[in-house]
Amino acid sequence: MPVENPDVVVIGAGAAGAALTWRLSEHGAKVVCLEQGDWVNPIDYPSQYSDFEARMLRGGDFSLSPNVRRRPEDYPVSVANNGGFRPSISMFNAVGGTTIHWQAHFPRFHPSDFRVKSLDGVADDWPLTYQDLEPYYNLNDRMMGVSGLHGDPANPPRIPRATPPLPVGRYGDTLIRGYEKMGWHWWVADQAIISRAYDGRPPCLLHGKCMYGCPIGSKASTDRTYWPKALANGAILETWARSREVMVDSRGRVRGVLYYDRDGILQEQPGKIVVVCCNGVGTPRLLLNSKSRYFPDGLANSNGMVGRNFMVHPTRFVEGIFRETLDGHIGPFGAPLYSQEFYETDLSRGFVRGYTMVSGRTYGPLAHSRQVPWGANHHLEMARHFPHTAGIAALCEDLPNENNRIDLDPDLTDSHGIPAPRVTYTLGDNTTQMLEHGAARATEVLKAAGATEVRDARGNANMAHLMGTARMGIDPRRSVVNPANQAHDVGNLFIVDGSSFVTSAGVNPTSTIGALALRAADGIWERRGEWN
Amino acid sequence: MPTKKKWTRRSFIESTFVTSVTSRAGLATVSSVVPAVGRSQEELPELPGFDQTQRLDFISMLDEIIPAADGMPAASEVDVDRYVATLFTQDQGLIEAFESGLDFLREKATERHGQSFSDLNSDQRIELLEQLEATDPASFRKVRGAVYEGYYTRPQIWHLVGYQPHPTNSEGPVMEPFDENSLERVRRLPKLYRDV
Ligand SMILES: Cc1cc2nc3c(=O)[nH]c(=O)nc-3n(C[C@H](O)[C@H](O)[C@H](O)COP(=O)(O)OP(=O)(O)OC[C@H]3O[C@@H](n4cnc5c(N)ncnc54)[C@H](O)[C@@H]3O)c2cc1C
Ligand code: SF4
Repeated sequence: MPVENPDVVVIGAGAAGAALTWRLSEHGAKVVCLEQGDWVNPIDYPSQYSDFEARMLRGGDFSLSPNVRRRPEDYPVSVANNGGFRPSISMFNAVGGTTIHWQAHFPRFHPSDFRVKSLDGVADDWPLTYQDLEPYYNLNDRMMGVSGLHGDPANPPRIPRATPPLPVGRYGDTLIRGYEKMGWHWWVADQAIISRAYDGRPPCLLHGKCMYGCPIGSKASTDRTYWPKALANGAILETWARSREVMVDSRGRVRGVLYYDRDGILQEQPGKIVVVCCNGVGTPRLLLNSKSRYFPDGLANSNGMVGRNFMVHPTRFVEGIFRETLDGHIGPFGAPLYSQEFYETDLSRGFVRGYTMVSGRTYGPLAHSRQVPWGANHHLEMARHFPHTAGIAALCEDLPNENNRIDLDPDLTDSHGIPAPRVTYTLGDNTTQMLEHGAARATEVLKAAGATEVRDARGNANMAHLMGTARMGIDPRRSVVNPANQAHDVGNLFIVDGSSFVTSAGVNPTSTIGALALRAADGIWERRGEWN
Repeated sequence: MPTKKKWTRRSFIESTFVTSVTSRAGLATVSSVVPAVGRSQEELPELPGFDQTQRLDFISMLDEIIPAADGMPAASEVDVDRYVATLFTQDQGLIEAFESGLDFLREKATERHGQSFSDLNSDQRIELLEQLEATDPASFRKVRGAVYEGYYTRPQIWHLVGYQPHPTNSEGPVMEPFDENSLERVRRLPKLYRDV
C-alpha cells in the first residue's frame, strides 16, 4: 500500500538503497523504499546444503544470472548482437540486492581514480575527491563491518579495521610466496566479512560458501547490516513493489512512483524526493521507461546520456596447478589477498590506468571437474587439479565509452510487461592491452609460486560490477547527475548507485557505492528546505 | 530395431509413477544378471520409455565418461545413473541430449560393428563417444555435465578426492590465523599510490 506523505521514496533495497535509507532515517526523514524482490530466507541459500555446487551451477533459482533464475521478481536482460561477444549480466533482486550474492571484497578507490583526466588525459575527472568521500568510506566500513589490516603502502592510510584479517590458508600462503619472489606489492584484503563478533553478528566460520548465501550474517549483505537499523528508525520497506516509472508533475518535477504491488495492482506512491538505486542496469532502465511530455526520451535524459558509458570490470582469470595440496575451497570466498603493483598508470606498459590482481578462492570438486576431460585419464587429471589450484584474476579498469550502453529491448519485457534492458558492450583497445598485461603478470606470479602448469581462462568480462550509466559531472550536457547525485534535469530526483560513477577504477565498486549513498543522503537532508 | 518412445518430462514422471507402483505391487521382472554392465536387471535404473538395450547403453555411456580407474569407481558404481534419472524429471533439455546421444551411439554401433553399444569393447565405445562429442558438442556437454554432477555430489567421491563440503549449517574448517609478519617486506615499500 502506498505510504502517506513520505519525504523520500527510494527505489531499490540493495547496497545503495539500504545505506541511503538508513542514513536518511537516522536524520529523521520519513523514508519509504520500494523493492521489487522480497526478503530472502537464509534456509533457502544453496550454501546450507552439501550439494551447494550443483544447486548453483545447474542454474536454478539462485543462479547469478536473472535470465537463468527467472524468478517472478527478476527482469530479463538482453544483449545486443555486437560481433559475437555475449556478456552475461549478474545481479540479485531482493532485500539486500546483489549483496546477497557478492563476495564482499571491499577495496577503496585510490585518490588518482577521481582525477583520471588531469593525471592521465583520459575519460573525465570526478567532480569530487577521495578526501570528500573518505569520511563516508569510514562510516560505511563501520556499518558493514570489515576485516583487514591498515598500513597498505598502495593505498592512503585508513583507520584500523574493525576486525583482524581473515585467514589466507595454504592457498594464500602459496600466492604470497609468488609475490615475495617477484618482489611485488601484495596485501591482505579488506573484506566486508567479520572475523570477530561485531555489531550483533557472529564471526565468519570459514566455510567458503559466501557466494551461495551467508546464513549466519558474517558476510555483510545489507539485509543484515543496514536494513534492520533503518527499519528500527521507522523507515518503511515495501517488498514485491516493482516500479514501472517515476512520474513528473506539470512543472516537470518528480511527484512519485508508479509501481506494481504484490498483487499486481498498479499503485501510485507520492514523494517529495525520489532516489533511484536500482543498479547500473536497473536504474537506466527505469529512467528510460519513465517517459512524459517533459521527458519524451526518458527521465533526466534531455542530453541522451542515460544508459551510455556502461562500464564493467573486464577480468582475466589465470589459474596455476600446484603439486602441493591447497585449500582454495575453504575460507571466505572473496579475495584473501590482492596486489596493486600495476594499479597506477605507467605508459611503458602500453596502456593507461591499471588493474588489481585479485586472488579469489576456488569452488569445490564439481566446478573443478568441468575442466577435466572425460574418459580413461579423467581421474588422474582430476587428481592433478583438485585440490591443487590457485588463481589470480586481473580486474581491470574499464574506460567510459558512449557506445557501450543500456537501452530498452524493443520486444522483451518482464512479467509485468515493462520493457527489459538491453546491453551493448565492446571491449576497448586500452582494456584489451591491460588484460593481456594482467594475464602475463599473473602467470609470472603463479610460476614463481611454484605452479607446474598455468592456464589462462581468457574469459574477459566481469558483468557483476555495473557502472557509469547515469554519470556524475558538472557539465549538464555531458552528465546526468551533479556532484550531489542530483539529476541535472530534475531538482528532486537523485540517482545513487554504480550508475553515477564517472570512471570505474581498477577495484570492486561496492564500498564506493555505499560511501556515495551515505554522502548523497547527507546532501538530501541538508537541503531539506528545498523539498517542497 | 527396438521401438523408441520420445521422452518428455511429463511422460517421464507419469511412467516413473507407473513403474514404481507396479514394482511395489510385486510385479517387477525376475532377476537375471546383465553381463555387459555387471548388474542385475532390476538394478538398472528405471528409465521409462527406454528399452533394455537403451538402458544398458546408458550405463555403458556413463561408465566410459567416468570409468573405474586409478582407485576410483566408475560412474554407475556410485549410482550416477539414478542421479541422472532424477535430473530427467527436472530438465527436458537433458532428456533430449541423452536421447539423441544414445540414438547416435546405437546407430553407429549397429552400422559399424553389428552390435549394441554396450556390447562393444571399451576402445570401440570411446571412439563412438568421441564422434558423438565432435558431431553434437552441445548435447554431449550437457550429458557430460550431468554425469560429472552426479559423480561429484556423491559423499563417497568427496571422501576419495579429499574434499569436505562444510555446508554453512555446519561448523567450518580450522584455519591458521593470518601471519602479519609475512607483510614485513611490503610494509617497507615506498608509497605506491599517487597523491592528488
Ligand atoms: C557474484 C557477485 C560477486 C560480487 N562480489 C563483489 C565484491 O566482492 N566486491 C564488490 O565491491 N562488489 C561485488 N559485487 C557487486 C556488488 O554486488 C554490487 O556492486 C552492489 O550490490 C550494487 O549495489 P546497488 O545497490 O547499486 O545494486 P543492487 O545491490 O543490485 O540492488 C538493486 C536493487 O534494486 C532493485 N530494483 C531494480 N529495479 C527495480 C524496480 N524497477 N523496482 C523496484 N526495485 C528494483 C533490485 O531488485 C535490487 O534489489 C558482486 C556481484 C556479484 C553478482
Ligand atoms: S565463509 Fe564466512 S562469510 Fe562465507 S558463508 Fe561461511 S560464515 Fe559466511
